[in-house]
Amino acid sequence: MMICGSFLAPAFCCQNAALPHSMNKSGKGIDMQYLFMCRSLTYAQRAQRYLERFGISAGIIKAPSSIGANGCAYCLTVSEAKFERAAELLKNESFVTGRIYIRKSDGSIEEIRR
Amino acid sequence: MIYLDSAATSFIKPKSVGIAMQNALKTMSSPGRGSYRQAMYAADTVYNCRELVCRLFDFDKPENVVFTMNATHALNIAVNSLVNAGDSVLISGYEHNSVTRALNGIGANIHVAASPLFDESAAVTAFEQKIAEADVVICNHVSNVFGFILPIYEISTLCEYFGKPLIIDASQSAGVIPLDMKKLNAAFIAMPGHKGLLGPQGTGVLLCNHKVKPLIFGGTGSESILQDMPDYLPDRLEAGTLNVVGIAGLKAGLEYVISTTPQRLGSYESELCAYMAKRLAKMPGIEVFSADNGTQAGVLSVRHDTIDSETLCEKLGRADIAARCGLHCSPLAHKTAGTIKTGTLRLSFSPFTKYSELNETCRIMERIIA
Repeated sequence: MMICGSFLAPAFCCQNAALPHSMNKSGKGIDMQYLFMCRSLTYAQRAQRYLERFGISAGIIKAPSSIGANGCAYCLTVSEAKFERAAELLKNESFVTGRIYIRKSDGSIEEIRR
Repeated sequence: MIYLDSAATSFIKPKSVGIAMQNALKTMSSPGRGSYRQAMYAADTVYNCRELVCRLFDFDKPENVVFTMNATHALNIAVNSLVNAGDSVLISGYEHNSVTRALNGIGANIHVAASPLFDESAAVTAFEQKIAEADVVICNHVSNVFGFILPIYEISTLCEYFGKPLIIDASQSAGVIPLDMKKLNAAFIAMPGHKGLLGPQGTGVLLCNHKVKPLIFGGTGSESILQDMPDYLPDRLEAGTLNVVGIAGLKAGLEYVISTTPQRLGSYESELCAYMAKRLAKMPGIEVFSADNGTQAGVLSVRHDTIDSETLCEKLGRADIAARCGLHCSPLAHKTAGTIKTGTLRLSFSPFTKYSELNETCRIMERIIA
C-alpha cells in the first residue's frame, strides 16, 4: 500500500492535492487531457495513488456535467504522454468506471472507445 | 492533574494532534464539494487517514474505511446492517450499551455467552455452546470495565467455522493491541478515534467487510441526482459534511500509534495496570479485579468493601485525579462479573501515564480509605 509522505511530514504531502485543476501553467488555456471517470472521489483517490506507484502523476477534478451522468462525479486526469500506460494499468481495476474521455485544448470533450 | 480515565477518552494526546487540527481549520474545507485547493487538501488528508487505518489493521480497502462520529455510531451502523427484528444475536458477557441498546432497539433476541473474568478458554467455550443458534455474533475485544482481553481470534475462527458474521467492538483495543482484519475476517470492526488511536472526540471508524445499510441519509457529493444513497463505500455511509478537522487530528494520532506500535503502547499500559493492581491490592478493604495471565489491557476496576465507588471517585477528583465510577455504560459486564450492585471505580491508563502519577494516586487512595 502506498502511504503518501513520512509519518511526521506535514499533512499536505501529496502533490496532486495541490494541483487539482486542469489549467495549464500559464493559467490561460487547458492542456489536452484524458479523463478517466471514477465512481466517487475516494475511488479517484485510490486510482490516483495506484498510478503514483508506477510513476504516473494524475490529477483529480470534478467531472464536467456533460459526462457526469448522475451529477457530482469525479475524474482522474492524465496527460497525453502518460495516457496509454495509465489506461493499461487501470483497465482491470474497479476504481474506474471504464469510461474514458479526451478533453481537447478548446475545452470540448469526447468519449474514447477502446 | 493526574488523568486515569483514558478508557473514556485519551485526554493527553501527542502534540501533533492539536497542530494537525489547527492546520486543518486554517487550510481545509470539505472533500467532495469541489476541486479547488482547500477541498482537495481536505480530500487528501481524509484519504491518507483511511490508508493509515488500513495499514494499522492490515486491511487493503481504503474505501471500506468509514468515518463515524464515535464507536457507538459505528456499532449502530454495523448492527443495523446485519441484524433484523427477531434475529438471534450472540454477544459476550462484557458488551457495552452501544451494542446491547442497539440490539434492544431493533428487537433482536439477545443471547449472552457469559464467562468468568480473565478466563480465555471459558470465553471460547461459552461462545461454542451457543453459536449454532445465532444469526450474528458480536464481541467486545477488551472489556471497558475490567480490561479483560477476550480471545477474539479464537472467537472469529468459531464464527468462520459456523458461517456466522462477526462484529468486533474494538473500542478499548484499537491502537493498543494489534488487530488484523484479514486474519479476523470480521464483517465489521468498530472503534472510536478518541481512545487508543489518540485522535480527538467526535471521530470513529468502521471497517466494513460486509454489505451495509445506511443509518443516516443525505448529501455525499456523489451521484447527486439519485435519491437513493450511492451503493458504494464510503459514500453510502458518510452522508453529510465530514469532520475533517477531527480526521486530521485522528490522522496525526494514527501516525503516532503506527510509529510507536500498538504492541509497545499496549504492553506499557498493561504494565502500569499490573503495577497499580499490585499496589491497590495491599490496601485494606480494596478488592482488585486483575489478571496475572496476560489477559488484561490497561483498564483496572476496583471496589472498596464499605466506601462506594462514587465516593472514592469524588474524593480522587478533589485531589485532581481523574477516574470513573459506577457502571461505565456496561451493566452486562457488571452482571457477568458480579459487580452490578456496587459498580466499580475504574482507573485506566495511557501511553503518557507516568509511574510517579500512580504512586501519587496510591498515596491519595491510602488517605481516602484510612
